[in-house]
Amino acid sequence: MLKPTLDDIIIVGGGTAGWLTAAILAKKLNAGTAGSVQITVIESPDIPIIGVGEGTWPTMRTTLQSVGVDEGEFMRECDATFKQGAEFVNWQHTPAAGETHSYFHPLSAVFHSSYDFNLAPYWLQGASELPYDLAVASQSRICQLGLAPKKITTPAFAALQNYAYHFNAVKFAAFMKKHCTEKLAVHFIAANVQQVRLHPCGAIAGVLTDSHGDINGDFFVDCTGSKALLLGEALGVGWHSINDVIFNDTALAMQVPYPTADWPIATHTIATAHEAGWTWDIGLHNRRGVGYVYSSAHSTDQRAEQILRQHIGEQAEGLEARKIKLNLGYRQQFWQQNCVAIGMSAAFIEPLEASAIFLIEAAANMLAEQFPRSRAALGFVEKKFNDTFKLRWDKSIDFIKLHYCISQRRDTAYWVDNCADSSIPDSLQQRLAHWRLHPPGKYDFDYAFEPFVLDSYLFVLYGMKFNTDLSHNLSSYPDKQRAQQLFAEIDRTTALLQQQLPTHRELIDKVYRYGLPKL
Amino acid sequence: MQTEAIRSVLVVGGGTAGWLTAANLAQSFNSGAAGAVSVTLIESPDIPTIGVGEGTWPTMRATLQKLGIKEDDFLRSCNATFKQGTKFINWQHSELPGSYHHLFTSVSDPTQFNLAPYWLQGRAGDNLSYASAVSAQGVIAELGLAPKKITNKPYEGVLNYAYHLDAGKFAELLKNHAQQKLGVQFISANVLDVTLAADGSIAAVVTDTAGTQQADFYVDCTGFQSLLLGKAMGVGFRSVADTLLADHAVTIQVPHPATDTPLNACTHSTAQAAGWIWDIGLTNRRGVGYVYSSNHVSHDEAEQTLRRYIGPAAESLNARKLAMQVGYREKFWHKNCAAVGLSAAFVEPLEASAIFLIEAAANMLADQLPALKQNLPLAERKFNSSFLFRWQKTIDFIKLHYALSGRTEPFWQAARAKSLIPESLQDLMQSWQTQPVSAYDFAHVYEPFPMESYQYVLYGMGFKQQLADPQRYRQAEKAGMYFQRVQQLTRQLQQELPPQRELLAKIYQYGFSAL
Amino acid sequence: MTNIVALDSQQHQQHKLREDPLFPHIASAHILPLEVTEFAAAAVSFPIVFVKDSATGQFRACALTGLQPGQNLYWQPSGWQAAYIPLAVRNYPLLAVQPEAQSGDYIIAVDADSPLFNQHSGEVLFAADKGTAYLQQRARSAIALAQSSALTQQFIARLLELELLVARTLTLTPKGAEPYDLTGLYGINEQRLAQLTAEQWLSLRANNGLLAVHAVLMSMSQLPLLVGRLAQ
Repeated sequence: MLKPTLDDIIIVGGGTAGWLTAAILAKKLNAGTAGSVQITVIESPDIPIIGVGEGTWPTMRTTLQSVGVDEGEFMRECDATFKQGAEFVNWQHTPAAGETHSYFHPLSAVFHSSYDFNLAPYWLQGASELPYDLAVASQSRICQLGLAPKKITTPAFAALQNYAYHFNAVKFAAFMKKHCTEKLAVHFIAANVQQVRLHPCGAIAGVLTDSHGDINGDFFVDCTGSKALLLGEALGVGWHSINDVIFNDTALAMQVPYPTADWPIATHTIATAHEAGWTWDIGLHNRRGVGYVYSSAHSTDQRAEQILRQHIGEQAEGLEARKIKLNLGYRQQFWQQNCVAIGMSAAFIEPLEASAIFLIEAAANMLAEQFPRSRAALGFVEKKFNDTFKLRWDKSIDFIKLHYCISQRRDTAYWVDNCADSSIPDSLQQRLAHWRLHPPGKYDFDYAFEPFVLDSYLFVLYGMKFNTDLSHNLSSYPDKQRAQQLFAEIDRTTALLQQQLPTHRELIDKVYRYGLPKL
Repeated sequence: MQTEAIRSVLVVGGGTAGWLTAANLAQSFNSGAAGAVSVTLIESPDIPTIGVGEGTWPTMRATLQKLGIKEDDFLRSCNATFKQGTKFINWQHSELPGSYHHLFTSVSDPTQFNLAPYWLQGRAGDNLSYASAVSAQGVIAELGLAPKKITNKPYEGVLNYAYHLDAGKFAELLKNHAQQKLGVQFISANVLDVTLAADGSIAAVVTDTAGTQQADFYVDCTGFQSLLLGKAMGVGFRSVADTLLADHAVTIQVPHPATDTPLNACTHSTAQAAGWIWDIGLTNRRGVGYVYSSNHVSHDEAEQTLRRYIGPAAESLNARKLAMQVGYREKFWHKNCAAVGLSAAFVEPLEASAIFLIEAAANMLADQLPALKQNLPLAERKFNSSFLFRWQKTIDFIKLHYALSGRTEPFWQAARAKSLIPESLQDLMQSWQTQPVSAYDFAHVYEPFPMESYQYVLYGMGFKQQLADPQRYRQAEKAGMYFQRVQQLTRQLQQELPPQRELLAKIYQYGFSAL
Repeated sequence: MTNIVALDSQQHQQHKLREDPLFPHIASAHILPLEVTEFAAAAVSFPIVFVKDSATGQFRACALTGLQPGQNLYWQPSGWQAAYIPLAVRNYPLLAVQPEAQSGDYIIAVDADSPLFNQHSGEVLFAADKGTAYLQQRARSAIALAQSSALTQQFIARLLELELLVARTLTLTPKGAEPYDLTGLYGINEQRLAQLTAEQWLSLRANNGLLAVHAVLMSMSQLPLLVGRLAQ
């Protein structure tokens, strides 16, 4: 007989997903106090956590602040740096030899297109001479100059320009583990899970471990990575592959130390398109994390390593590349009965827009907010959770695909295949058809938990020189003067920020030394 | 394949729906300018506009401002008053008198910080209602005070507010404004026939005095008749009479006994044996009406109930009876025609959703009307799915008021029968027995009623919520600060805010200053 | 600009140190650093505020002496216009620095660009490779200040822990000019102070913290007087 209340939460698997979920749940459910839930994380002492340099979204600031982390300490412990967006290099068309071109997808737009004023139609009519990313956001310029998003006097987690982080994921997991066990009353068991035991009704009853015997619980979070020991293996929930839409199934990663201790640190992720994929370049405090994500159907591993080494140049000499297989797709259900999967056990898409950690935060937040203490209430929350995350993943996939399918590159079969209609989801094709004649507007984003919002679409579409023909509809945009004023205001803000902001490296060094003020 | 541009829109039918839509479209398209998409409206010179007192939502302020109408002009010409919510009287019990408020202002946005769990724990004090705990507005409305001062800017409030207005006069104001300022072309004629093209889209509208009128896109604002979408194109009507039982209304207009009769600052909605009575105060009169189920009460009895409610003042006044078709069209947009207003859908006016959904439809139409005919299907699909959702949620929300009632008359017992409650609402109500209302329950950006509306109704109706996990709410200190602030504001605003009449008189005299 | 160098008995054998009771180096300083040990004495002359060090982001305590950058309303060519002179002002151009934190050893340093530090007028600093009695007395004073500075940092850390600091904006309306905001100032949050538990309250007593908190609060009565100085 299953008891009617849910009091013991077992998180199987540590890593970023496991520890971040544990922290958010423990904080929001007030774990450890009388009458509250008990949260236990079971982490294998043997499985090394994959530690690539990773990017987050600005939501991570709220998350860390809400679980009571000190920003300065977090940054120091995790080799973290400030991320202000991404620069997409050579995506728009095939570059001539030695030539590069790029656009930014920054995290701050000075005027929020949905709420304030959509500048896109005016930019399309030539109201600014600058490229879209520079015209509508000071932050693109700030990124180009390698300036920080804030000053040393700006309070912790506050920003002059919206920002996220780059950090070392292994160190982050260790940091969160320490925080969870020391400050948030999370129990930790180092053991290997050998078997998952089911109740006759199909719910999970407990797990059998090598060194701690049986561990029972009322609710289980599957953070076991792509193995999905609980939701996938034990409960048999299937996997929906998306390799017909997103082709990149392999990554080669390298850690590249800075040549000198005062080497500038990029304040954005640099994503460079290549013949069969793209390279990421993420600047941490002490080194860069660089990797090539590619389609194994379009490139051999040898050729991929050659591209990665060429891209890094002589700094790659003597360094080893690590190969990682990627399994792109999502579970047919994220939540079943008393088990929810978070992290790679739930879904994985390539890291082009750093959505992985963001979607962990989103899942953990919803789980915490909606966590039913009574078993009877599970069904309704399960349905809501599955509906919303199916939608969020589908929308994330659309947005990732957007980067490829509006490219003019046709230099290899990889790009030809990526731009073929048959690989583009219908939902995206319909919107693109609409946007050929109308700039995207807020009605294109009617879901409250839309992972990528209007501003993001505008940066990618017009960064990629997507053509929206307004000639049928020019009279609908009579506020040219206002648009020009706003463009001028953005220029002024940019100039002001340029004077005030320290370089990224300078601020990072100071934060590591002094921390950030609490107010 | 059609590749022609959409250069002209014909709105068929005036009234609030027609003129509000035409004005909004013309403003958005800049129709007065050369080369712009043109907007024309055909209105019958014979059909009188019915002037019921109606309530709006706070969105109306943004709508009027967008159209470039000055607030003092609007107030003056529509006999309008400020509406700060709805007071629901006797909805919970048949015998025990009681009331609660559904307000527009809360001290904390519950999707950001939800005070309800703390209120349930008694942190706001033992005898304070939910509405009084989270908002000063209930007390202010009870006292008949205005939501703002003469020194506030137009459309800016100390408290959030909407309007009560005379719908006939409102249509008149919009008609003048749309023609004079926004470039809407007006044709006064009766529509005799609507002709279809081979592909089933509308080809033309045939009139008695203005010949045949053609346009690239049509908006059906012909009311219940739905001449274009319903009659000509054959888009069906989905009745929700099995969910919402009230099918008639009887109304009386009651002049104020004196020019200084105090005005209610919110709509009053009083439950009756077979429905409920609305009571809306305009500057010159009240609009009062009984919405009832003819299966549960005779028309005569209903009229008598209404007259009793009004008292001796009703004696010499005429009553008017209306039949209501409750439900919505299977599609709101089909090919080159969209329906806005009663032609699209109707539900009883319990939460003043009628004008609000006209505004919403006009806004979306203005934003999404494609430039080329070939792109109509996508816009149609988006519009239909958006408004199907909005209407269904509106119906759910209205049903919630009945589902929570403990009244004992046959009408009320029938109205809360579980089999008649939509499943979507049943799921939520079950969840809310142990879980707080959550932002995750409202995942759509265009959710017609926000989370706070549900909370006002749930807690106002005495919904029994036993939170499964009470100790997780440990921001009692923060909640306490909010509760204190509400009490402080309640005291302070009572001193500062003028009575409705006083403010209106000043506005008539001085207007608002624009800064 | 300042040019801080360590005092060296060889290199600075010929140097002398002069005192200038007019303190020209702070003629345009609108804030002057204060240590917690000075609060009680300083509170009768200036508003005591907290500001963030623009180089480190860390809070420090200051006397507010002007209402906009570049303005010192206590400084006059005829002499200092307040009863109290902050220690750092008096010690200038000397200061004591700890080469290693926690070591207890101090090095005496000097702003070599200060005209007070020169080769022709003032007190002799070194005689026979050793510091003179005058230098030793000045050095003791500098070290005492450096030690107080550690106490000040502890005090501020405690205020932050108890969430007792709050941002304050002064809106000033100079005669015949546009009003402006003086931002970046922090003060004691009185509301929060009243809400402290008995235990937290007692914990403030260490190192005279309670006295310091009250000195800061009382010093606020100097604000209108400071604004009054502007009018004169």
